[in-house]
Amino acid sequence: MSGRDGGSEAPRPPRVAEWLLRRLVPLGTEGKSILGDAREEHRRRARTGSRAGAALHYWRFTLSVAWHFAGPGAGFATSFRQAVRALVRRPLLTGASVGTLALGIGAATTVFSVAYGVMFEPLPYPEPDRLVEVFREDANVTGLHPTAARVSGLYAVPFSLFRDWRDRSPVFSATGAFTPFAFTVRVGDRPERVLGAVASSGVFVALGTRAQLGRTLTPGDDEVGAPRVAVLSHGFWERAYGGDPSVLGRTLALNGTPNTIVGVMPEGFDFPGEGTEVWGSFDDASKQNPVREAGWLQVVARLRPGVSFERAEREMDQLAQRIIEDHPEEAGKAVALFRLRDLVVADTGNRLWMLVAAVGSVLLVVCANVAGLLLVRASDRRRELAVRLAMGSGRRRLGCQLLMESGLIALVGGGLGYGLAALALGPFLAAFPGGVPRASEITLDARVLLVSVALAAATSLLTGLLPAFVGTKTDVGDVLRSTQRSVTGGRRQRRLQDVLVGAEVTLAVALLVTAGLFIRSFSEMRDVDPGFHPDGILTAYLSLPGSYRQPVSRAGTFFDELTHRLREIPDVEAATVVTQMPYAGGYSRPPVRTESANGFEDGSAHISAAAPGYFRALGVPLTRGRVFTEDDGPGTEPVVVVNEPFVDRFWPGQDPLGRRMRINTSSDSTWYTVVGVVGAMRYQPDQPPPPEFYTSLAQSPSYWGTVVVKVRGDADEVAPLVRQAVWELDAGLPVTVRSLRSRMEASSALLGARFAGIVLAGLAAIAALLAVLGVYAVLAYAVSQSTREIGIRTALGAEKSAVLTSVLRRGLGLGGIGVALGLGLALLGGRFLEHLMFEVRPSDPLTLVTVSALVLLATLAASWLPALRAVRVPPARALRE
Amino acid sequence: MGRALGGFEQTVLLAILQSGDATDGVSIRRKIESRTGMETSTGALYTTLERLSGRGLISFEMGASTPARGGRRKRFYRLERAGLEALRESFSVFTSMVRGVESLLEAGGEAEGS
Repeated sequence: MSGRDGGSEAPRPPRVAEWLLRRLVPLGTEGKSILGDAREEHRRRARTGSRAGAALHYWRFTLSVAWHFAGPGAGFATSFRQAVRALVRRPLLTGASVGTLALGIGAATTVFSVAYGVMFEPLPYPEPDRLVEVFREDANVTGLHPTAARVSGLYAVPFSLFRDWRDRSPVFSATGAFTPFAFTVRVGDRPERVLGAVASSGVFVALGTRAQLGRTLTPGDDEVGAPRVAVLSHGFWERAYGGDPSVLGRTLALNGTPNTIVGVMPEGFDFPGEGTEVWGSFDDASKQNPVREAGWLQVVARLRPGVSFERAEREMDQLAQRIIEDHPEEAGKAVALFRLRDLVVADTGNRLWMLVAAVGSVLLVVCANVAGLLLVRASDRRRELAVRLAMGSGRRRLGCQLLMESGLIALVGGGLGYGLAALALGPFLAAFPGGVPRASEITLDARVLLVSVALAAATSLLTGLLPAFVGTKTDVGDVLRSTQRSVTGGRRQRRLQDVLVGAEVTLAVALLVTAGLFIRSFSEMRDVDPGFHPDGILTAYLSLPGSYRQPVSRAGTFFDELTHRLREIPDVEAATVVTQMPYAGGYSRPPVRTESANGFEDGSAHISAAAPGYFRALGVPLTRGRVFTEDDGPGTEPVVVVNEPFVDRFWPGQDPLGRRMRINTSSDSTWYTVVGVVGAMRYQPDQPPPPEFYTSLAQSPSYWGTVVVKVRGDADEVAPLVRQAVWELDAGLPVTVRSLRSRMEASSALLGARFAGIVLAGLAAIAALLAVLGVYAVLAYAVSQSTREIGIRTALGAEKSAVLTSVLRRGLGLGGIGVALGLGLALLGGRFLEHLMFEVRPSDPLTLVTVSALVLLATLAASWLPALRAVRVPPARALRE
Repeated sequence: MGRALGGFEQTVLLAILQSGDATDGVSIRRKIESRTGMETSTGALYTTLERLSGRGLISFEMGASTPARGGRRKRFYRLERAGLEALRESFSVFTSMVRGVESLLEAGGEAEGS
């Protein structure tokens, strides 16, 4: 480009500096002039002074140009101002970009902060990774990952075994036993059911949290004969005592038993679960309970310093062996250790990962969309940019301005998105089914703000680089000289657009398929046959306080009287009582021993005690023998009714009537005779009906149970009458009446599936909308750019239909490839999500076909308008341009 | 006439005015340096020239390329009518503000003539 220096005696300027200067000057004649000036100066100084002095001057020249043309002051303010002006000039484009970014970043920030808070934020105890929970389980069922379902299958621990672990285990520095418990307390003058826990002092020592007021439970409270004490949660203290510090030493009646309040925990402490408000010490009977077979406690422990999790597992296994030697009835049981964090996260973790992936996809779609928008805009301004380049604006400065524009869009979008996330966090947490573990700890903290900013910066880079790249690489001469609207750079740009939109459609399809699968899963779960007829059934759980226990028959009398009163209410068809209801969220599953042809068979089954009329009220069919009658009372032969799965498990293909079984613990030696078989009932919508056996309530009385009332007509009107009937017998009993239907619909499995379906559907809808808009935009833009070309073609005799099909072909091509890739992606991901779905395979043909058809139709619709517009281009008009 | 002239912009315009005819970047710089004794930043000069030309206060034309410049053509700048107007306004503002305090502003010694 530049000619050689004439005359060999004239020295050349320093090569590096010249190379640098060449890159720093603006394009065009101004830059060339500056280069010439520099060289001229250099020559003059070399001649009149020294070569070194000339070189030095050249370098200073270069650095000065560098600073002023490309440095921070280099028109930064002007670039900024121009960027803002350029954005405001196209409000629709700018608004769309900012809006979609805000949506994407807002959703992403919400989900990410929840995911972080639940899964990665350390538990709020000192050194939380050293906390474990210890369970007892079948020796055959080891090594599975902890999930909620799994944990409920593990055996709880009897107090005696806990004592052994506490006193004999070398690997724990503290061991505590606890169980969640619901207490009836008096708040003001109303009886209320309060969630709490019964615990030993080791729980507090292991967790390491100190009391805010007073003390926690201490080893003295674990001794037999120690007075009953209670520790309050911060929330309960404020709610029931108004935060009064003189609460220490006062008495609180838990289920009728007086406990002395000894302490208040700090805010946010709610072990073992959200909503725990009171911790009470164990009673003497529990502490001294010698039973070893049936357990009811959970055990938490802290690893000794220097002891690894694996070592603890090994040593606890060895301890289990030693215990079996001392107590042979423990044989067949193993010890299972779990990190506390894994248990807290459990199933929620999987759901959150899925949401993170979904939101991540939406974010990618959003980025692609914005990049496409900016790409369109950059090519629109080709001319403007070319002119400015010719007029001497530095290429770098132009690129800087474009980057700044997309940076502004990203920052504003990011800021808005953060605001949206702040608004959405509360409702999101509230809507998450079964609550989110550790929800109270989750906030939009500084880290999440950092992630938002990083997201904004990343999208800025992504969306800004492409257009800046395409825009400023313009060959100025080409653009200025060209009289056509379409430029050669168009082909590369077309391909870029196609890739972007194709990616959007792919992600949208994958999301739609996943959402569809979850929606199907939810509806399958909801329509599953529960094994009973829930309509018109009211339920009310009652827990009688300790005063009913002596003599034990008082509880029975209470329930008898209650059911009599309930039957007298008009419109009540039946009233009965049962101790374990399906869909109640809990169950009892003791070990059982049955008589079989060749001796005994051991296993476990769900247990429930029912009063007469239970099965008929729920519409559970009787398939053999009989159900309970009034004659099955105390003193008569102990009878039991089993369900079909129980028969399949223990007496397959045989007649169970007359066989005998017992609950396999040392405390109950009763042999029950099977008198009837009933149909199976599900306990959870997503679990098959378990084997279950029922005892007669009169023969195995209980001081807690659920009242079941079958109502003819409007159940809502009868509900308050049920409550009244309870209070007429005992005004101090907290009672909540719910219809069985609403209980079923509130089951956590159902709520979980519904939540997943809704959120995924929402995200998928956003992605799909953006993708379809993307297809439309690409085609509309292409048509508007090539009106001249189309006009010429039609003027020369091309069929209108050919023009139509060419546009449609591009649109459907994009849609088709997107659908194919999206289906593939969905099938790939489906494998990881299979266990979250119910009765639906990831390759469910109905869903796949529906989504494909919908997306292709939408793509067709999006292509139609631009295609029509292309067809309508009149030949004459185009030629005139 | 829009934004007022900045200090350096004014100096550059005056240098161009001083030369009487079209002048190039190197000459402008030497003129300023010899008259004021202050060193001028190259980059500042060129960006100012660009700014002034963008505002229409000066115009440029291309001269011949010479071997001494490595074959690159030289730009020559000329003061436009708008530029002269801007200088006049600047001057009038200066003189009206300076009236009465000239003696306080005068530094000792004169700058060398060009």
